[in-house]
Amino acid sequence: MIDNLLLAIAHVFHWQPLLAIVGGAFLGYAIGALPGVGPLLTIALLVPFTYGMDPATAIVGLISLYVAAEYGGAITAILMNTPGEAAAVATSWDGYPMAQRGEAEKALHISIISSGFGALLSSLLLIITAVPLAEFASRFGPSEYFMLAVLGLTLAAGLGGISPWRGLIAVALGLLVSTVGIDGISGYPRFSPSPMFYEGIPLVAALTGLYALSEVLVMVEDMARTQSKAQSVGSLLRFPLHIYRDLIGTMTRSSLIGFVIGVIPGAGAVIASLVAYHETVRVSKDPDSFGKGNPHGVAAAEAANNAAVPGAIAPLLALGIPGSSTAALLASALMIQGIQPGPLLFQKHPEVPYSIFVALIIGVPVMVLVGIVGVKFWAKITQVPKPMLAALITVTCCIGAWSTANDIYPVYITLAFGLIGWLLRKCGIPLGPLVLAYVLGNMLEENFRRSALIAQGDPLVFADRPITLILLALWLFAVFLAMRRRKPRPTTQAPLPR
Amino acid sequence: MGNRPAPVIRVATRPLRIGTGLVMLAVAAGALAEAARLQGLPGTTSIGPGAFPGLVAIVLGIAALILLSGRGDKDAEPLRIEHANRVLLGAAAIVLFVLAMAFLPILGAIAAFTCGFQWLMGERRARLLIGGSLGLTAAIWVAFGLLLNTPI
Repeated sequence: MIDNLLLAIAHVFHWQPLLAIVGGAFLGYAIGALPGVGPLLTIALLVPFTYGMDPATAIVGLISLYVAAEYGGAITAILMNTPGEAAAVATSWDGYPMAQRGEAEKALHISIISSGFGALLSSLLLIITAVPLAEFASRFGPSEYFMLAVLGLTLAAGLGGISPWRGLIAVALGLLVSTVGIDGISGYPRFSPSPMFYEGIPLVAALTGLYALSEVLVMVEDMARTQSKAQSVGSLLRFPLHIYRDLIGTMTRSSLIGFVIGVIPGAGAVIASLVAYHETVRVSKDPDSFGKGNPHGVAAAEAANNAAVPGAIAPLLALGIPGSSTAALLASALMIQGIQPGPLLFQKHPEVPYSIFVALIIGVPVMVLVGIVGVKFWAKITQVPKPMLAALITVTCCIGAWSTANDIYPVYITLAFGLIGWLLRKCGIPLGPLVLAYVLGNMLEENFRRSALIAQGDPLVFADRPITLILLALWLFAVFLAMRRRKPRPTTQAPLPR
Repeated sequence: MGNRPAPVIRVATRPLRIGTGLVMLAVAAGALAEAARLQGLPGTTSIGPGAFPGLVAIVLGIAALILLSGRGDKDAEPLRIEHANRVLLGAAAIVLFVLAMAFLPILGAIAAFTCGFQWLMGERRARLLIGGSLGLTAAIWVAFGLLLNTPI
């Protein structure tokens, strides 16, 4: 492990990966600060840019962007009471009241430092857990992988939508989309009305449409609403650090919560920030002060939502199961380079996971510095006119899809999936489980068929080994949890981004 | 737009749930029919190419039936599309842009789309319409044409 880390350090300390880390942080802030444009949409737009890049450089740039964009949503949450993305909703509950009483700089400083702290602590946990987990998973056979993917998709279906049945519909749709094209074993074309579908639905074009183009239509609907103006902020450079003596406990607890929840597929940064916020309120000696500008509320939400980022990457690297929709997009960025995330990644392409570890450790301080130094600029970016932003996203989506094959076919896919994605959102079908299922579909089917072949059709193959039995028990528990799940109730009048 | 209220499309929770459930049921039936058509290679013991999609189609059908029954769907919200005319115009502009990409020079299509789309969305400031359109086109050309060598 140490040898691989040293190699990764040598790899990352070249101008291209360093530029990718710094550029990712800048871009992440710039885009994350725009209301309605979160890390998911940003990464969906930028995956086509990574085609010609070295895989390790591409992934460290995207991860740096992911961490910064996850924070960027807090800027509008604090200054405008308009969370840039859903994971920053809890930040606005106390951040905006702080800004209203003239403490915008303090709220922003706390949010940046807490985000950095959460991401750094969570990155260390990722480094400690991912390698042993991958070594353990390298002993898995097809039936274990099948059960693991089923468990991940069950959790995503159970947690990702307003009801588990809608989540299950999303998972089934994602799996069906993944079966389009020529079957690798028999050579039969499936669900392919014409030869252009034989290679399957292009992953990047479909994901760009689902997340980015559908978001444009949502923005079009919101366009008429008056955009609130962000208040101006002063410098954060000379802010006293002694306030963190009081907040360190909240930040540590919330970071741990964020990491653990980030690991669970379908849970992600939104649930992490809500759980950490509620836990902070629960243990506080002054719970009534929350929602009225308590700095602990800002610290809890931001530490947790950023800690969820490395948390979501842990199962992706170690098991090949993305912990969030954004991690699924990172998986697609690796897959288009011919790299399959999972335990074998540490053996076949060790430079990729270890570069991610090093990039997180370097990237988090860069993110904090970029945030603190550039705060006035990020506050101004929130005022980009929505019509221009929507036009920019549309054009980047379509040209990005075009660039994957230098052909119009992927653009048609982006358009179709954009319209379908918007309709599904309107009908209450969540997109997160659909994307997770789409990314995992091939792996799931391959292991299903291999297991069935080995077992000669005996269904007990999924329950006859200790690991499959444990996974089966966890799956039953996940089903039980999904059936008993209740929608979390916000404590205050939180504005939830659409 | 004057002072007239913007058109809103509303569909109540129950008809929306039934409509969604029926569409999903139709998708499941179509997928199951296609899966049944796919047979395994003769003389092999491996399961056929239709087995997995068939299984998924059955799961989709069951989930759609449960959705139709309304079980566990208390938190569902009604469909509401505000400014429906604007959404329709926006969607039509995007479709036109994609068609223009197929038949016209791409940079020209980008410039025309970014200007026209902003105008349709209510932007009336000439410097943003023209300057923004030219700026975005130039940025796309630099990012994709120069840096990624995409033939646009």
